[in-house]
Amino acid sequence: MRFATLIVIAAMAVFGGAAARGAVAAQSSPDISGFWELSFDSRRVPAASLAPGVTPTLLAKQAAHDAHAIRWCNFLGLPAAMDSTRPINIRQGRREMVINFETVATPRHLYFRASHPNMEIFDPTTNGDSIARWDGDTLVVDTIGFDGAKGVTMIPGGGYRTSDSHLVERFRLLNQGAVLSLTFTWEDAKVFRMPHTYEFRYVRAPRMYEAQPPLACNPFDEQRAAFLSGDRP
Amino acid sequence: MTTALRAIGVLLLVVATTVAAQQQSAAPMPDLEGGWVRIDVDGSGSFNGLAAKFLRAVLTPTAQAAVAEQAKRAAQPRFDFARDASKPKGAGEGYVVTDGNCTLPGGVEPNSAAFHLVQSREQVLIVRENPGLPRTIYIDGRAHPDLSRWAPTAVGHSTGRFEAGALVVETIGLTAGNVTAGGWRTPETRLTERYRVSSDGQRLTITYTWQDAKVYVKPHTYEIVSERTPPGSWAFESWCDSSDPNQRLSIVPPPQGK
Amino acid sequence: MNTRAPLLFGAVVILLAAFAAAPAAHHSFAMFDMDKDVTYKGLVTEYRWSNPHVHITVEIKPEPGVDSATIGIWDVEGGSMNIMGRQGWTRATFKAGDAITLVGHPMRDGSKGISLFYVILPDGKRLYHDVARPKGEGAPPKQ
Repeated sequence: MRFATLIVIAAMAVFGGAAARGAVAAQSSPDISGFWELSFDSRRVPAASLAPGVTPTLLAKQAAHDAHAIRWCNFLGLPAAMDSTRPINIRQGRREMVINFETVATPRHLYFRASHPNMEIFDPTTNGDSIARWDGDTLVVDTIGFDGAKGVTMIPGGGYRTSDSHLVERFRLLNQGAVLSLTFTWEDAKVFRMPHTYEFRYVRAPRMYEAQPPLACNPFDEQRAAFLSGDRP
Repeated sequence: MTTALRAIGVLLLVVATTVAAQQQSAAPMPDLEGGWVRIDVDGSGSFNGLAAKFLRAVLTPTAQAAVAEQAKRAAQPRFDFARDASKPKGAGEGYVVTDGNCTLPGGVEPNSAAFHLVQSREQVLIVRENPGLPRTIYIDGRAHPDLSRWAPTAVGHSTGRFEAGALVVETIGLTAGNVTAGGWRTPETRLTERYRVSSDGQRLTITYTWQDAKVYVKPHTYEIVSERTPPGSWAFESWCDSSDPNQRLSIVPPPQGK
Repeated sequence: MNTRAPLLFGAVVILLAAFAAAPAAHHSFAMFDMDKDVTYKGLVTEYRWSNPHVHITVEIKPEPGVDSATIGIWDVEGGSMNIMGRQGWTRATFKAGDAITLVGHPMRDGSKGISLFYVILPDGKRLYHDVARPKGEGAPPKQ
């Protein structure tokens, strides 16, 4: 009888533990950590429908602003940092996700929290403030707090980032985790007639990929400056 | 039947014990994730004095020569901070103190800016709020690269493991240069760091140990303590624009009176 | 015993040192007398919350109780916005017209510049420029 009791207890320990672990696994969200890169066929970008106030003169002014940012190696910010020539490093933790870039860009912090900080004391940045939540298997990220005067502001498909821009991104793994779909939806009444959405599909870099230092950018390199300004060598 | 039952019972006991042992060895990792800001444990008096109480490194003669050579280079007069103090600048004349370059290599230690740690399954990533390279700490079991095929950087190549409640990080491949408290490093020098969090989760103590038989007579060790940023805080961006003349300036004496 | 190996190593070390990146997280403080803590009490005429350094222009008028050496209009240099932000500063901490009491390190050459150590708010709380604290006032580590 005593031995039968021991058998029952042991069975409960083994199978009860397995059930608990299974329950925990079922509750956890996808993990999109990894090095992710864009290929030549990674982008589906329709033309943006621009607001009437976005004149060719305004677009030219914004292009000149971006050319200055590039010439002087300013932090790129969104959306340019998400479309660099090197893999992006996404690290998903418990309280936040960090996206680091191998280019002239500050890392993005996507906080798993419900609200943005007080914008009265938040200093706007090139990346804005991002809060994230899981909606099933999709990570939904909401970003405001951009500094429209800093970094490269042009948005794929047309338009540009301003201090009033609102960006919603949706991250979703495809192909058993080999591909990361990311849709960007920009809203800004000064720039867009209607929300402007486009999609990138990042491919997971090989598992043993080693992070590289950012591509060098020397604002005092005169040859580089001449090249960017279109001067003859 | 009784024998069969006994065999099943023993088997289940063995399995249960194994599962329990596995759960014990996979004990929770320290919660390092979040923003951290260095604190001045000793009351240094100024930023220049933060390492004043660290034990000085004991270097080999060759490494001492390298440190002396670096000090000679660093002492070359540069910018206005090396100007003659008997000739102050006038009102509106800014003191030029840098070349305005925004690209800084950073390093392995925190300075006055916050740093942020995020732990994922295969990697611990440390990013800074000041310009500087991030630190990618691989915890997926990979080895360091062959140094003969590695370009040294200010943060080197780091691998890590969790051990006795701490994150232990091993780094090689650093650019040659100074180390806190009179130390020196080459790409072959090995840095071992131990990251430990206090029981209330608010303080992070990082112990740095530099070892290199060609550089140090004995391992060179010191600690840096940081405090967790408050809940709800967010990462700051340190904006810098090399085209801005103010980027080069420190004090600009104001015009005086009317 | 091979005596050439240490020499060769030394040569390599020195050669590598020639290419060592100079750490330049911020500029030198050599212009300031960092061993001197001076208290200044005056009015803010400008509070510039920007990088690379936050600057506060402070006017100190001759008044009873005011140290004559501190009279004048001063440029007080703080740290970068993010460093000061971590010490509790925001873009709203001061504005023109506010009274200010600060402790700082004066310029060695006597020009009207100060490297900020900390300000003392009306409630007595200190806001420091960066992580450094006065001698003997460090935070004890927790276990």
